[in-house]
Amino acid sequence: MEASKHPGVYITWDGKRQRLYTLSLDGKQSKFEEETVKEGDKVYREWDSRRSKLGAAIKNKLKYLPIRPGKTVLYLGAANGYTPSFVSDIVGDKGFVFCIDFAALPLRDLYFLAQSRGNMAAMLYDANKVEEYKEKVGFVDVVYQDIAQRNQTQIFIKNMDRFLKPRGYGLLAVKSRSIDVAKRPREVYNEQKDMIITAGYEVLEMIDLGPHERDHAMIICRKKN
Amino acid sequence: MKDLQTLRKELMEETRKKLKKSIGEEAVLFQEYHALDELSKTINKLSVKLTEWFSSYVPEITKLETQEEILKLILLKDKRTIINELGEKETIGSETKKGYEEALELAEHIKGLIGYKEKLEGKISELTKEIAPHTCEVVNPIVLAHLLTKVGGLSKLARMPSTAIQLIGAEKALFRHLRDKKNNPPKYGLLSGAVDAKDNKEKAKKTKQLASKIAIAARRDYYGSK
Repeated sequence: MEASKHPGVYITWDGKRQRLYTLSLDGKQSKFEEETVKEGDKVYREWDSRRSKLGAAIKNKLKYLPIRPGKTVLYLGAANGYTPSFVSDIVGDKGFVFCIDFAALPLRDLYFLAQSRGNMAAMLYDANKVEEYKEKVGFVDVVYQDIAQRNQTQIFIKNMDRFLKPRGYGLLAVKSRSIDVAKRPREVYNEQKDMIITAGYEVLEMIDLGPHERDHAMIICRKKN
Repeated sequence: MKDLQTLRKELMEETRKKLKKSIGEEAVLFQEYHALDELSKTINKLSVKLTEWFSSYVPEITKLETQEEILKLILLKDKRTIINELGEKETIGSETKKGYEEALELAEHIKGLIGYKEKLEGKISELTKEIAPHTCEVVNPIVLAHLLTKVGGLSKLARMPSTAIQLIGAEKALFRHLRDKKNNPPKYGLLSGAVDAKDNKEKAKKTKQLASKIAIAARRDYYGSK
């Protein structure tokens, strides 16, 4: 197990194949049936890049991962909590993850996950209706959004405007197929990027997530002062 | 840090209450419909297996056309009676007795499943009628249950334009058309099962009419007073 350039993320090499790991917060495997590696009394959980867009972005040579130990993260579109569990591993005891999802069914799994992890809270809200939960969430260091909606970028900007600290980071997983099926993915990505720039954010990076996730991209941006 | 922990407790408590409330009548309907769907598939698969199995003893049963007829015959149990019932004198099937009883047992189980399926269909119809009484007047309740499961509830269906309702279940063909206009647009989705038509053109027309009626009725059910 070796440390990668992102704190909290570990890698192993299996020939040419890279595998990602995080140090398990509660020292055990979670319900997602992922592989685990034991080293001494530490347990590492394997992070499958085909199931997680953030994992795919790291594998596709993300330059800077704003999710770091001790940060607070607002996670929109948490679903059943696969990626949030790894985010929770990375931020560790001193960080915190607010997980928001609109659908009650997958949120049940997330609820059980959050029960066993002290740095996670599961919240049943519509990310489009910021007003409803604005008092529940304080300012955060990172806003991460993975919602397959046509207006996903607008929702993302709305949440960044409201919750992000100055100089805080935003990560957006764009699903081009849910924004416009008829357009080429690259066109859609550029449109979203322009939209974020117009809203007054600085776009640092844009990564295509293929072949792990087809027609998806990750946009990393930063709030100006 | 202390603050975050208190906040977390409050949030989790709130979520717990919300989750408890989230299971309504419609959620139950979806579960029932999923079970029904899976049940039909299972019954079909098992019936095919049973026919295959039983035809090692009496191959002549495959002359019958439907699975129901075959099952009914197998449930007569006695081999001689079955052969007579088929109007045959002799059978070219195997004489072995091994596995015969077990095949009959499988037939009993399938019969049980069919009985349960019918009961479930009745329950689903009742529940659908409770949720959307007016819409049930224009379309078969089971088909409506399928529609509701697919779109995620009456609130969604009531807000859909009738052309969208017409194409529920034909999403793949629709997006293929949107991506590349060389492909013809679909004219009907799962609603086509609820209309009788002599050809595809008529089916398209009738589905369109039915969809517009459903759109009106669904709005009446969702927004109108009970």
